[in-house]
Amino acid sequence: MKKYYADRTGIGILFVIIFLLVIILTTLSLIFLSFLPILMWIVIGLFAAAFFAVVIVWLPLYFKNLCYFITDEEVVANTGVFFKNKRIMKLSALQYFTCVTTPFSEKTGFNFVVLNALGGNIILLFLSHRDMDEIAKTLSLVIKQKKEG
Amino acid sequence: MHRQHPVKIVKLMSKNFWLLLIPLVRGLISLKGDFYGWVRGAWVDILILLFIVGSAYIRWLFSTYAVGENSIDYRAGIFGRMKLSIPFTALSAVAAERFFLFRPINAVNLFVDTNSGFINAPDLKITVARKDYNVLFKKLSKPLEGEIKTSYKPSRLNLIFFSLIFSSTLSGVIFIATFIFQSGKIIGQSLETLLLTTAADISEKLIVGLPPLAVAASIIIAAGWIFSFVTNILRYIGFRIKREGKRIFIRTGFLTKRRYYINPEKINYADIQQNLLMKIFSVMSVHVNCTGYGKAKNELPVFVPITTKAQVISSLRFLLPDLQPSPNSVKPKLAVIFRYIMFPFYFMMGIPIAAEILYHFFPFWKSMIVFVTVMAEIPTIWLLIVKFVSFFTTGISENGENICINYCSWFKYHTIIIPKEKIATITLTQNKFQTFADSCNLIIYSNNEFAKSHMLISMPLKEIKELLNSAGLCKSELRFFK
Repeated sequence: MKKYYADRTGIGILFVIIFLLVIILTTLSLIFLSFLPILMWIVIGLFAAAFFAVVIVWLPLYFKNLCYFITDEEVVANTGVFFKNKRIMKLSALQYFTCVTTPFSEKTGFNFVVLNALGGNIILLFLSHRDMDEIAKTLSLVIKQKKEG
Repeated sequence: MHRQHPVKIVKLMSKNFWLLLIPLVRGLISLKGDFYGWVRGAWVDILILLFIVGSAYIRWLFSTYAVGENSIDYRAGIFGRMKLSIPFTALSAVAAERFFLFRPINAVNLFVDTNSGFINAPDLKITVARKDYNVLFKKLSKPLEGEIKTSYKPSRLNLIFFSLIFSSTLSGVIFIATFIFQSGKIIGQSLETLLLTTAADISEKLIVGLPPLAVAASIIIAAGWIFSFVTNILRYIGFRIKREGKRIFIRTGFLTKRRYYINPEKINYADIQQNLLMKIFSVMSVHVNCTGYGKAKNELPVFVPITTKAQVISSLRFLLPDLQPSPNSVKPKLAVIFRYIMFPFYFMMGIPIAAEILYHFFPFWKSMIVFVTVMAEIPTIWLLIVKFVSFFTTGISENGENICINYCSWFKYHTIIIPKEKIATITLTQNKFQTFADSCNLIIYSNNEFAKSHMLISMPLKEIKELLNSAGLCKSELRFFK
């Protein structure tokens, strides 16, 4: 059995993306809602509160809880912060998988694997490049053994 | 890795491209070739068009595929790169479509499906060069030692009859209505108005006494059915099916040629279909439920288009030897016959009453009310007859590793042959009235991409419980049913 954790480099990237998004939305509020200052400040306050809640509180907890187990028979994905989610997929049900990478994913940790199986799929999020390659090799072996079996 | 056929660039452009291009060209023509004036006025639209073409080209540039020894590999994406590899063993069906406009340029649309992935769309949809399509099907049809080959090809008359029976008025009307509506959007409202006015004028000249609107609707419905009939003929002419060991290949189509590979182990169930007329003449049509086959719009998952019962049984013995029908061992009791005809009976009685009430309030609409009443009453009476006959044909039986279910859904009779291992869920329901008759409704859900149920109504509860126990489908006691 092997355990994989999310690559925490992704938190930094997400922090920057969400921060930029909040800046853009705040600027737009300053431009378009300046005729009603109270509403403008309420909206900006909401954006700031959402930024704090997501980036400072929720995101680190999410990445801390995000982990995956791959055994000989199944894949288990643990996700969630306040509502914990455990998804178990039998490897015998696996049909094929998809690897998704982004630019500079070796540095950013934005690597994803989608496991497609009978009745649903599981997405493994924010893996490091090395972990993604390792998981891909393991799953290819499983599919090959299924074919030979 | 190869790039997809360049014609894919056209398909990757959004529909908005054509909605923008045609008015732009119209504008240029109306300016009588004043190119600079046209550019000055329409530069934003031109930029958007160039952006659409450019982004389609870049998306095409970054998507590649390869047909490996044991899998199909695909890479796509510009910023988010996607890599997938579908092994041949995971394939449930592969459809290859040589669209008639693409045939001169040797482009083939491939739709690859497995029992996972997207529900409403194939797992992989690519446009390849004809040589790669040949390579893929050559690998899929690599002959193995000792495998038995068998094939079936229906006659042209059978195929015409099949298209006659299975043409859908609804699909034809939807197409014509969409065409009229969309052409109005692109070319201008004048075309839509012209078409509708012409239809009403013709209806007035042809028939006296019926409201023009009703006749115009009848003409559109008839045109819709004819359209569907012609497209079905073109789709299914040349149909032939071949089984080679553990592989099934189907070829069909006249203008647009289609070829299918089906993995018979991934077939969820076989569905022998009849309507009342087909039952009288003892002909039937065999469809199958297999992910990826019959998924496209207006495509029927047909296995044996239409033929006599004896021919169907003998064809199934070769094409699907594991799925054979069997006679009903459990049937509904006579006491529940009214349950089968209940709803069409109530509708048949209710339609004239509703018409009377409407006529009382809107007497100036008499001719329209009479027309609609007659049009509604005819299919209702037909449905009543169909449901009455269904009482005598409904039932269930166990046949080795399969369960054979006979039931009627709307105007169609179904004989479903489903392996026990492909049954996902079984539900027994019983309302208060059924308690007195000691009957129940049995609903069987099959393994599918989406939930598909087969319902038998008012079946004898004791016999159903015995059958489920003997088939090993229900190991626990059914405590809620006495």
